[in-house]
Amino acid sequence: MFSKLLTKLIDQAIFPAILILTTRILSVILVSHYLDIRFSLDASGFAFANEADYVTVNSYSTFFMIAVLAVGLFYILLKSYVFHESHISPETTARVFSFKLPYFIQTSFDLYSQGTVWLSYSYLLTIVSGILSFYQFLFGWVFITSFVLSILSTVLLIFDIEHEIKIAKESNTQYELDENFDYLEKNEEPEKWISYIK
Amino acid sequence: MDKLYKIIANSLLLILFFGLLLLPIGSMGIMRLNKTKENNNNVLSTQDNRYIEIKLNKLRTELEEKDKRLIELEKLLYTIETKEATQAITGSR
Repeated sequence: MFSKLLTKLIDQAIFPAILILTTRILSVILVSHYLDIRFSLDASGFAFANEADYVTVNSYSTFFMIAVLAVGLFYILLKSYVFHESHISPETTARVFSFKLPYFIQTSFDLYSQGTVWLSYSYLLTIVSGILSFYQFLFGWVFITSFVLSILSTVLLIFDIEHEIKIAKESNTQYELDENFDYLEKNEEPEKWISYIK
Repeated sequence: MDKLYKIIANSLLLILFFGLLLLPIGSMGIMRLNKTKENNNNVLSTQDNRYIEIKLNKLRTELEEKDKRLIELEKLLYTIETKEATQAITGSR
């Protein structure tokens, strides 16, 4: 009844959503405390007395969110390049199992669904930081950092997907279907086999 | 009917997924400016406070230097006055 892909995407989106939200709240409090910036907390959130303080806290807090996203994306890329089930080396597999970390080895479905979710967060953050930066509510370098992170991780993930497609093609060639019935015995009637396959 | 249930269930899942995606991005809106205070110009920013602190320290140093100079001048004046008084007493004798 439920789509397998959607269920998987929701499953993978819960953890980063909580992580980014927690990072945002904690970073606002910590940055304000570190820079000695006063704010008031009410039902609508953190209220700052002036624009300069608001921009400073907002920028550093967003930067922390980007840093958390960068760590997550780096972890996914590491898994997809080194611990990918389709092209992990036997030596690495043995080492991973000796360290009792078999969950490090993941399938393409797991890795790419994780990658899609984390990249979506990265792009959404880039769009929002771009808008905020345009209206001078955020330092420009925060937007540039977010943009560079998104592009770089996308490119790296695409490289891995291309590699994966190449592997899939190579493995498929070994099991090509005999569509023209070249390997059938000549005395047999092809129509009979066609109806049998269908 | 079964197909309809499937469509509804998957649509709900999709909405949930978009909600999860937008939740942390929506947290960007937890911060706001307290505009009433800003318009009255009653509250100074941290940068303003730091600037004022630096200026005050500078003024304090300048005042301390001037105080020292004043004390030196007073001492000098006292020495001159003492000297003049001594000379006047010596001259009258």
